[in-house]
Amino acid sequence: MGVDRISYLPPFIIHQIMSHLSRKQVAQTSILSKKWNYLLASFPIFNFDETDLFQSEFDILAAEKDVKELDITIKTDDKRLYIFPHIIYSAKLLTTLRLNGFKFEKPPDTIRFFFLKKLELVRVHISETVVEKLTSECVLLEELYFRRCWGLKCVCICKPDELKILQIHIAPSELERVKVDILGLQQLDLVLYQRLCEIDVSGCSQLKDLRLACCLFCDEEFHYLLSQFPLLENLSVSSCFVIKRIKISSDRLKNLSIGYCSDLEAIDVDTPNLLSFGYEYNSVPLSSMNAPCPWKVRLVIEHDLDTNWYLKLKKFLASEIKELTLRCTLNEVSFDLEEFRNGSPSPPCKVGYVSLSPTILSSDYGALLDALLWICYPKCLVVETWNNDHINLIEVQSSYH
Amino acid sequence: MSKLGQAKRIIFLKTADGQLFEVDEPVAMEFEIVKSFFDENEDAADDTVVPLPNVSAEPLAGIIEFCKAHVEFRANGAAGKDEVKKFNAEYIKEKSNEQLKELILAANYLNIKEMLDFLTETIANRLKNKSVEYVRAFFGIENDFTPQEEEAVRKEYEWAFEGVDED
Repeated sequence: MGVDRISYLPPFIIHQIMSHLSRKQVAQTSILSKKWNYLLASFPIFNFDETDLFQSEFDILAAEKDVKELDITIKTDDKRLYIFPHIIYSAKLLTTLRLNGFKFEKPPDTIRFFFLKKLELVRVHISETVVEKLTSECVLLEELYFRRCWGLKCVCICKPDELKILQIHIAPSELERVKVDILGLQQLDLVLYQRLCEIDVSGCSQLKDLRLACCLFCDEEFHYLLSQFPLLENLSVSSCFVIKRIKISSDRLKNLSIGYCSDLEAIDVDTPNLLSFGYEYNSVPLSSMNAPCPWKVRLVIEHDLDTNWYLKLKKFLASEIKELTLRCTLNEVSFDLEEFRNGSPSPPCKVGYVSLSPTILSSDYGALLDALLWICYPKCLVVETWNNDHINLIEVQSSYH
Repeated sequence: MSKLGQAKRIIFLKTADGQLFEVDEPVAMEFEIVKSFFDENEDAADDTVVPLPNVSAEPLAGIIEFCKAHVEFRANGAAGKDEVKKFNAEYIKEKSNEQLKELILAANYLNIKEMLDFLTETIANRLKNKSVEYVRAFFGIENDFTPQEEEAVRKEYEWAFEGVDED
């Protein structure tokens, strides 16, 4: 290809290009990069048609009257989902049901999944009526997963009372409203992709575990959501591209993980009882941290590094780090020791494990390593090199153990 | 809009890099953005210069060439015929991907639906049946998945990777 490339096209143009490709090739764009995976997930073209390829297999299945766990994946292209066969409703003793690649049509008048505890719907086209019916008639349901499902404008889950885990991952550009009102709910996963989706979860005040992925919340929406869960113990925020500042203050929080939030600029974390903190694939934030626990920090650095950046990094890291990984790409390093010492006279912090995988020029490589050692003393240093220029630069004289 | 019914009105367009273009009215009206400029400013004088601050001269010249031909095709009742296909094929033959991209961004800004459709289809044709690596190189995409993550995504879309030879 040489230099004849196309980069940085607006998303809807990319969608327009996708619309001229086969479904198969469009699906292949999922592994190009995270951004493209996201672009694919927000690609809104679907249509359905029916087949009865497997009717006889389902009949045999259903004949096994006491089947308890059922996991069926129909490998098709997303536009030919299999219509959910009514015969499966007769498997009355089911406790676990996992369906991948189906379309739900009108359900029978009563659903007899009296013992169903876990229902996982993957690539399923489903309507509000079916969801309402399933949640009100499967009274023992404890875990409910919608993963990459379509057809819902509104997800409203108010039953059953036993529900503990709920995951909502609906195709974008469809969802307008999410309402969850189950007092005993323990874990909620939201994968929304969507701006302007109304979220009402005020009925779940006992929630312990919240996982947000690809939720395009602005700062206010994010903090308002958090404020509704006073008992939260585990929080994971990933690929929320719009969030700029995160402020968390909680005595109860035990595990916090923030990842792939590309626009994140500042974090203010006051969590005295935290047990683990993960901060991965974001930039170095402006920070105010009270999180006395092992940290795992992974930074991907795509810009040039100057003294200010190192100062910001040192301020951020001034705590107990277990693991620090830096992945650099094509950076120039300009580090002024005098300026750095004036900015931050305190000694370097102790870090368990530092791993560097830079692809920078060897002339800047030494500078990067040097500067890094002014920030932290690693107990273990892992340096990836792939030519002799890099190796020759490293001359270790260590008196620190 | 033109009220006097002159035989041929000329519209003046000024690009980001300061070049002035003189375009026949029917061609300029293919650009939704120019059309709405005159719809909103009905009293605009005939020599009003429409500023196009997001388009530079090179792609604009290309777009005018395309739209001019298509306006003529329509006038001659040739729309959808082989003649048009031949012109389109000829038109993109020499264009580099970078030029295509400039054309797309400009056609998008000017809001010319037909041309945008044609250009995105052209890009799709250049990508058809190409490997993941090729597409990455084409768009200059850096793979930021860890091997485990990539494996997980591949699993999720398993059906799309069956029978595909990686190169």
